[in-house]
Amino acid sequence: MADTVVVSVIHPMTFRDSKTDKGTKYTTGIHTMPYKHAQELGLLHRQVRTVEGAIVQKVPFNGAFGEPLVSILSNAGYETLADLRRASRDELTALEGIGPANYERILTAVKGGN
Amino acid sequence: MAQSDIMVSGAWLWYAPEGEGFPDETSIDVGDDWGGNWEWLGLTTAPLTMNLESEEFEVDVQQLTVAVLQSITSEEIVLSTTLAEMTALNLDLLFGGNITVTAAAALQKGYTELKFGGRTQRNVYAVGFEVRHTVLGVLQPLRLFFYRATFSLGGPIPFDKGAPSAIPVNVTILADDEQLTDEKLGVWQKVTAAAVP
Repeated sequence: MADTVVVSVIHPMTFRDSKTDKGTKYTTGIHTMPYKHAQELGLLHRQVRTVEGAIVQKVPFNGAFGEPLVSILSNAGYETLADLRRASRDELTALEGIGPANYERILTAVKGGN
Repeated sequence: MAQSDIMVSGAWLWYAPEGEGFPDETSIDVGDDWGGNWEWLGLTTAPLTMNLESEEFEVDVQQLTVAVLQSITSEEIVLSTTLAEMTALNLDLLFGGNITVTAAAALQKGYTELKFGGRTQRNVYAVGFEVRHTVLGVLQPLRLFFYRATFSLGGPIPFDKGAPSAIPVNVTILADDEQLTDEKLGVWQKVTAAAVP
C-alpha cells in the first residue's frame, strides 16, 4: 500500500530521519511526500488530496469541525465524537467558545452516527 | 444604529501565502477552517488590536488659524496581538529562516530547529481575522482581509516563571497596487443574515 499524501506547504521545511541525515527539503507549494514526513512536519491538516492506496490518517472528530473548535474541545479533554455524545449540553456550552452555533454543530456531528 | 451592532468578541487570526483567495462568506461558517492555504495562528494571550496611523500635509493660510487643505501623505495599518504558542512556524513568520524537523529514533530525541538571521526582506502574506457576533441568536462572522502584510516582533518575549512565554507580534499591512483605487489594503466583511432556505 502506498504511504504518501499530497500536502500544501507554506513554510519551507526540511524533514530528516536522523541528525546525520541530509534531509528532504520541501519548498512552498504542493508536494507529494511520505505520510511520515507530513505527520512529523505537522502538515496532515494541509492535505489537498489523497493518493490512491495512501493511509487515511486519523482526523480529530472525523473532520466534522474546523481547527478552532477542535482546539477548544481537545483542550477540554474531548477526543472523539463518542466523548461528545456522553457530554451534557451544560458541560459543552460551559466551555469558552461553545455558543449556540457551535453546540448545534456538535449535535449534528454526534447524531451523524460516527 | 442598533445595539446588535455592538461587537464584543475575541479574534481568530489567519495567514496564507500572498495572493491566496479570501474564504467565502457562505460556505465558510463562523469557526470553520478557512480552507485553501489559510493557516490559523493559534491561541493568543492578548486581544487583537488594529490601529491606523496617518501623516498629512496641511496648507495653512495667513488669514485663518486653521488649515484649509489636508492631503494624506502616508498611512499605516498595524495589527497587534500576542501569540501564545511557541512554535517554529510562528517564529518563522517573524524571523524568517529555515525549519528542520528531525524525527525521534533509537537513541535520538525528536526535535525542531529554526535557523535564522541576516535576511533583508520580510516574507509577505495575505492576512485576515475573524470576530463573532450574533444575528437573530445565531453566531455569524465578521472578517477583515488584507491582501499583503508582513510580520514582525512587537515587543520582548518574556521567559518568566510567572507568565507564559508568549510572542508579541505586529502585522504591518502593505498596499496591493493591483487592486482598484481606494481598495488597495483589504476588505471588511460582516455577515448580516443567514442564507434563505
